[in-house]
Amino acid sequence: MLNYVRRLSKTLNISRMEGCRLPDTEIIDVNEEEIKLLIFQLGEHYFAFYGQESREVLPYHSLVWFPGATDKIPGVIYIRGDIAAIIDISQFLHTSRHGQTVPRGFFIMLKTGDGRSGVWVDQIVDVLDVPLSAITPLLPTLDENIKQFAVSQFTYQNKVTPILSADMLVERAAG
Amino acid sequence: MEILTFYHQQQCYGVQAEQLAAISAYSPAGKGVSFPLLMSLTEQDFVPQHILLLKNQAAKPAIIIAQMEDIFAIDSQQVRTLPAIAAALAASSGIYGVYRQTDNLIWMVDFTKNTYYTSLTLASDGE
Repeated sequence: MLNYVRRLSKTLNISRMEGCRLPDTEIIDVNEEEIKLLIFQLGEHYFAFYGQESREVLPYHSLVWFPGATDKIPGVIYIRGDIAAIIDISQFLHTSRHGQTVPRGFFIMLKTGDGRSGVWVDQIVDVLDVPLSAITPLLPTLDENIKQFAVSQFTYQNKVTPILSADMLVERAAG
Repeated sequence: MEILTFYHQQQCYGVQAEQLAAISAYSPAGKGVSFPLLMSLTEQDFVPQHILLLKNQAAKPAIIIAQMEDIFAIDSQQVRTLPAIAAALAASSGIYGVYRQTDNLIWMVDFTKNTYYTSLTLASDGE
């Protein structure tokens, strides 16, 4: 809706129309840059990746053990004739998954690194465009385990939502 | 290329046949190191059946495997390398790729890249 109002006001140039001028505090900056975020859930927490870091989302399907697999990299998946490694992000962030008797969730496939890795999350919550001004520096009180992979944060549905760096996550997984 | 396959704990492994000097039946009297030990895997349910001798590795012990499954030709172009983060974890075991045979994955292993195997000599037996 906000985007629609922005587009409409831009098209009609409403702010310049006589008698339609809004108070300065209510003028929407139609030129503000937006950034796409992919919001996902892990346990009770919301997190996000920048849209440009994720390639696609796949529903959970058979995760296959590989020689050398660890809790953090528990397996690989076969995808369109290639193999991709899956990172269990909950092991890095020290967050618990929703009680799962049967593995489920989603794989967010990442563009970062060699483009052959993905992150296992509980739920995909939303994909949305957020004005840059809504993205703020990290709270100093943020959990240290999360802070080491987070680059910034924003508020989504009244929840502080850390934005994670896929690069940092993959780099740590590879290290 | 031709590969020899065998199983350990429901996982299938493949070795390039051209790397092998000989395949023979297991004998407790022989000098060898078990496949699960080389790969840091549990030896539970491991039943020694065959031994592999690698070419140009006369100073190394034989590799003891479970029942040899098959020897067959595959298109080497179809062997996929592992993704970087998985390759980093698997490198010390000598796993360098994976081949898909219908619904089964075959983990390709090069024992000469296995860090434990390379540390062994017949004098120390690895045991």
